[in-house]
Amino acid sequence: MNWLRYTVHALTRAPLRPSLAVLAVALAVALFCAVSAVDRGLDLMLATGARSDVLVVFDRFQSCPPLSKLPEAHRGALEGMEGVRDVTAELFVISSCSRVTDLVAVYGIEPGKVRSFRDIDLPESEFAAFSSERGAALVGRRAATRYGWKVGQTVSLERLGGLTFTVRGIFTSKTEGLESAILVDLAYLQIATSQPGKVTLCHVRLADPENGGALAVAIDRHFANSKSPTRTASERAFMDAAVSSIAGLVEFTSLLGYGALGLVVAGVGNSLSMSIRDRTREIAILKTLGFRRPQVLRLMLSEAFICGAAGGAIGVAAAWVLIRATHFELSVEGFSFAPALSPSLLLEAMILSVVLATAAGLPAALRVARLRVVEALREVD
Amino acid sequence: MKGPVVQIEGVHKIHRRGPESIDVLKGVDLTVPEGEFLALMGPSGSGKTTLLNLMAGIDSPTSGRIVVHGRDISRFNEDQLAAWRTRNIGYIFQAYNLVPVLTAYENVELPLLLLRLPSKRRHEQVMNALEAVGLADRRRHLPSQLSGGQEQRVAIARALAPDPPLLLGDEPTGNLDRDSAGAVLGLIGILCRELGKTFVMVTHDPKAAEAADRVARMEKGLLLEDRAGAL
Ligand SMILES: Nc1ncnc2c1ncn2[C@@H]1O[C@H](COP(=O)(O)OP(=O)(O)OP(=O)(O)O)[C@@H](O)[C@H]1O
Ligand SMILES: [Mg+2]
Repeated sequence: MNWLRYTVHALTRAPLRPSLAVLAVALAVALFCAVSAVDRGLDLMLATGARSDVLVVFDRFQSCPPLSKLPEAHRGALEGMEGVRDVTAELFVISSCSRVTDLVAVYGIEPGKVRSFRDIDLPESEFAAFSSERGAALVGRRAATRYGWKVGQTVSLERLGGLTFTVRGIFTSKTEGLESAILVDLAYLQIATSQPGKVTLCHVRLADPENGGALAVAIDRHFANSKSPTRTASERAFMDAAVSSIAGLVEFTSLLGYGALGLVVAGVGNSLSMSIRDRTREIAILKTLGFRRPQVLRLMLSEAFICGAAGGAIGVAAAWVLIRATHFELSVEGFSFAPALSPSLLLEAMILSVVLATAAGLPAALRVARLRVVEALREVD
Repeated sequence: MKGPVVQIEGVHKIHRRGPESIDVLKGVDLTVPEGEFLALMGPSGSGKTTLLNLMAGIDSPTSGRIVVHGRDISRFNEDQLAAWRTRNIGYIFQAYNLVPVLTAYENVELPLLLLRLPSKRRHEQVMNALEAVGLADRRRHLPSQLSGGQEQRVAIARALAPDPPLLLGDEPTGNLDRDSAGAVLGLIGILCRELGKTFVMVTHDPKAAEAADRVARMEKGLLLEDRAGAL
């Protein structure tokens, strides 16, 4: 028998309390992983989703971009402005504008321009099939996986008033969130959703990327006295604004993550100190046999270590399964992103769990390692 | 008689609890020759456990000398005492001697883990000790699956396993019925004779003391009589 077996026996032959500790650790680690993944997903969206040479033109009076409505005629006016190289219009239809998890986002786009404004990647033949057919759709890889859609399949979305399309291609994208979207022809979407002549926004590619600020001001001034005034900013600025609107939520969730780690410390610390109190006699016996402080300390800490490792492994696995299986997704004012659960995050959570659990066990373990045999024996008698 | 295994000279022990101090041992002298089975009797609170703990090296005297097997352990520090206990002392408590989550075999193996023996040798010593107390066939049982008498016999096996010269028992039969107590005492008697172990046992039971070679009586921190033979 070696040290580890002693510890394993101590944990498995009196499993109630250690199981509770492991469960608490697992729960906390899962929570930590989920919260950190959301945080990192958001960062990823900011890093990949925003381009600086493109301005976005929205309805001035809608703070929520998907509710923005501009006349399609704005596109022509924008094309005529100085400093503008290219313009495209898009219409978004989203099941909700609030922070929902399972959203369906349909983008009405101009097939001839979409590839120069949006980062999408798919076989040329699929794109050709899409461009030549009204009522065709390109579906993001994530959306296709989530709903089990195949190329050639005809889909009707009840939640969007029975919008019907045929999947002609499945694309991948490095832009966070876009892979969850469905792209259809702008005109088709306008008619299908009874919004003829309406668009959500226009993308404006700058002739000179350095000139974004001035052009944005010029655009808004140009439309200021029209029926549909605009609000123009770089894509990055819009995204930052959207994200800052949920800054409180993000802060709260990261607090939640740290709170969860606090739970590890409290859970293991409490469990170990109770288990040690129950085992005062056992430890007095070990000391009588000649076990010294460091040896007792090692025995007790290895229990905390194992609780941390087991709980960490379960928690990490649970978070992984949960996030992968549910294709969990979040949307902030029309920008959607998935939690980024990378192997490095899982490893980090695992290490944190083990380190924190061991540290949490330290005070109780130290106390018991210092215990004087004679006192301990008298205490129990 | 062979040379002494235990030599206690002028031992005082004062327990301090806050401002209060209790004079538990007030100058005790005691010699225990090798191979003797000594019973220590006396009223509750007279200091028997305290004296035994001093011999075991789990407590230190306030003054006086305690020489066990030729070494003055009253000068040892905590770590020296711990290492010394493993090789020199087998201690049997009244009850709850065994680690509840370990089997009989694993309990007996515990002190041997501290001796860095080759595993084959360790296994032999565990099995020999369990065979000596007649419980080799119960080695896979947990303490909860053993009777009180069997638990005490496993405790004796564990005390014997590292082959120490001195065995100490604090009312080792105190929780047993008469038959089990008789069996345990008989076993201790045989072990002392056959293995040449020295055994000091605290007991309240005159019947148990009968099994001993000699009875020493404590009262109010002093060793009163030191009488050879049974009561
Ligand atoms: N650590 C201690 N702190 C304070 N007082 C103590 C301590 N240990 C023992 N005493 C006191 O010393 C006295 C002798 O205790 P001890 O346990 O040696 O008696 P005993 O003869 O073994 O009694 P019993 O037959 O009841 O076991 C008692 O009054 C006890 O309260
Ligand atoms: Mg006592």
